[in-house]
Amino acid sequence: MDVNEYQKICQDPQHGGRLGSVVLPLLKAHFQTSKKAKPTVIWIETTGCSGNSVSLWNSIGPDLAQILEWLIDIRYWNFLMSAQDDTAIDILHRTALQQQNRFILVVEGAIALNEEFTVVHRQEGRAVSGADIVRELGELARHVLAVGTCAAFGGPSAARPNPSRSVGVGDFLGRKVVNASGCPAHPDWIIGTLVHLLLFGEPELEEFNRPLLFYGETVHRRCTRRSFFDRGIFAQNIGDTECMFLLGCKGPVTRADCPVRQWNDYVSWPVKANTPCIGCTNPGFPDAMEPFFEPLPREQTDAKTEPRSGLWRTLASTLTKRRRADGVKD
Amino acid sequence: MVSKIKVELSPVTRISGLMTVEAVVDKNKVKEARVMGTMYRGFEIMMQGRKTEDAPYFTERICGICSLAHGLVSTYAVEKAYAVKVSEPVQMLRNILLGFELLQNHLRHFYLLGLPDFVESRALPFQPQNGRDYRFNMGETQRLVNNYYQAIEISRLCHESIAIFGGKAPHNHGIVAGGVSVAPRSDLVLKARSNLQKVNTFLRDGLARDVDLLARRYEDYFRLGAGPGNFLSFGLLPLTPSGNPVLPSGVYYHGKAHPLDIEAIVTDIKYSWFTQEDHETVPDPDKPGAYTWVKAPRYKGLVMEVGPLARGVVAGIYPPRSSTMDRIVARAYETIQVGDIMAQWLDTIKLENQVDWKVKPKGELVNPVSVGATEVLRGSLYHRLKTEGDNVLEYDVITPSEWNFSPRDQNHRPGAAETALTGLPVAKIDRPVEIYRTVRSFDPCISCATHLLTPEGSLQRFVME
Repeated sequence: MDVNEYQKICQDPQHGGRLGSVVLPLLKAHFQTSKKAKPTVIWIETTGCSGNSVSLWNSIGPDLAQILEWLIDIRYWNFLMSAQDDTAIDILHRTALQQQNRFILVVEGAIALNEEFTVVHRQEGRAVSGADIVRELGELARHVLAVGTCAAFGGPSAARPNPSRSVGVGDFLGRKVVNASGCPAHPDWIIGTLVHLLLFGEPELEEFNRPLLFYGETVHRRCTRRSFFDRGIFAQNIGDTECMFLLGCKGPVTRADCPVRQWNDYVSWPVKANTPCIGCTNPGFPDAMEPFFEPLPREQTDAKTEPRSGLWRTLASTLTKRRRADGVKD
Repeated sequence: MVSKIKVELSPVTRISGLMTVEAVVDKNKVKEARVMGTMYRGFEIMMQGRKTEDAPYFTERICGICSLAHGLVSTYAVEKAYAVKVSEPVQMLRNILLGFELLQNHLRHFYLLGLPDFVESRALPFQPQNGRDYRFNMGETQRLVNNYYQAIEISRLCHESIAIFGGKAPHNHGIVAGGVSVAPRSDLVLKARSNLQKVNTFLRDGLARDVDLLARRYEDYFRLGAGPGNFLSFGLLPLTPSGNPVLPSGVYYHGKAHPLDIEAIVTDIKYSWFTQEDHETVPDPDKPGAYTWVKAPRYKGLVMEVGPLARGVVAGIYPPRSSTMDRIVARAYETIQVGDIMAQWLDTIKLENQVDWKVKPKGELVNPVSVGATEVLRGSLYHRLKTEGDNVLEYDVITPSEWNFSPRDQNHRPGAAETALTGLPVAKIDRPVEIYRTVRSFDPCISCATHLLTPEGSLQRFVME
């Protein structure tokens, strides 16, 4: 398989997003022919909520057991690893040195510049901050992958007034960091990016260093309710089945493939659940995406997504009312 | 030769969040212990000035493993502010969703986080293990390891079921002020019911038997790790705005159960990294004597234990005992009980076309101070909202892990987990498995535990809903 074929699989909703059925045999073959060991991963949790770990546990194609068995060798992962205390820290340092320039560093959570606000562990009575450990490992890692919006851009951990002075890993490290943002990140975004790093090197990235594979298009562009938007038919309440734009949908300014991929065994996503997209993959989330339930100002919607009529808002509500009065059902 | 040894256990892995335990061990017994929560983000400060409607989605981000619980309790607080009452079917669907969140958590806690303390096997994914005192034979070990992997799939099904009604998990969208956004269409209910069937089968054939086996092999842990002996519960799974929860609210102390008086809760910051400035509590990581970001909530001045064991004791369905093994057993017992009642609910819930599922509008602000409080995965969760216009003026959260992992208070009484660790025998100081098993029996969630509460802010009396 070449890189184009792999990328096609990642993006093709016809695969139901089931990367596993394609990627696992590929990886098995890869490890057998190359006689290479599974790539080493160190997963560091800093200033966040552990939600990206939980999201990855929800992965189905491949599932967590397959990820651990076939995909990557996660040596350090605070949330799940067997070892604890000094033994865990010893594993961390030994792995980083032995696998120098080979291991992939995954960071979940932002970096608190008020370093006392995030102590990842204490070693010989000394507090080791999230900033300390990411700075140290960031110099030794082959790739750094920031998972979730906190790690990528600061995210909720950096929400105003940002008491912990949190920033994204890329801003903190001053080295190339690949971002898989989202609150949380979809497991396919994490795994798809990891496998790309592993088999084909760094994927093509957009301006926020996220793989075009998953963050190439806006939610709005691929939204299943796009035809409502184009016809000016807007939901008036949460729970309605029309376009969520007037209820605050941030789909027009949010790049992610949620509409075609969907979440948790690919069963649903926020708009399908009759609620607006809140733009959780965006730099500036949550502050720049709030209020969650108020529509984007017109100047924020680019020309491509701007509603057609100058009086679009009035028109929209008139249309919806008329439609209802006519007893039009979906 | 000094017999007193101070050990610093850091990091305590296989928990949600970042934690360190310090223990002074004297003649193979823990003389005193300090539990340290080492991360602070300040959600309550962040909430100030945001739209009240944004609170449920925003506060979900406090925690990745119990996010639905925060979203739900925040929704209760917002609904109370605007005097929105939801229907019984809405409450039932919310209960079902909270139930799925609880099942995924309890399963992941027992198998993925807790079990490696008791089972040694090369077939477990993370090597090496640095525990000891592994007592299972080969056949038992094989079975438990198989169920470890099985639990990965089963817990995932719980989150899938939340996504069916909530769009995604963690951080679902489906629970909103005024109702739920996805009405139970018959195909959705069927899918969730089918998932639950698989979960419940595993709870009976897997979890129940495995916990039973663990309790027999580690019977001595029924006599270790006793907490303060006081238990608090806000009531689990409220049924209707007027009806009773599945498990009642209450407080157990001085050997008997008492009704809950929420005004008797006071939070202490003597040993927490906060100082009091005017009416605000501000972070102060250099405060002398302080050792954690977790605060110390107390009930009538008493240290309380919360969680599945506390809920069981308060409800009178679990004997009033406290130990490491009782916590594990009570959690498993509750998991099975919740799975059963969820099945009944899914079998009887009104469908999309049978009742009105429209989300209710929020209307005018009625209660500028409102509280959401209920039992969630790890114990009692409390959100208090002060509203001005449509904006949050103040927001306070007390999480279950604040109760369990609180530090000492101004009377120098250690928190619940610290109490459980005190007096614990430690056979081998370099592998203090007794400490780890006991700490994890509380199911720590440190992402949740580190919050901010205006200490003098007297907690508003509330009616359990």
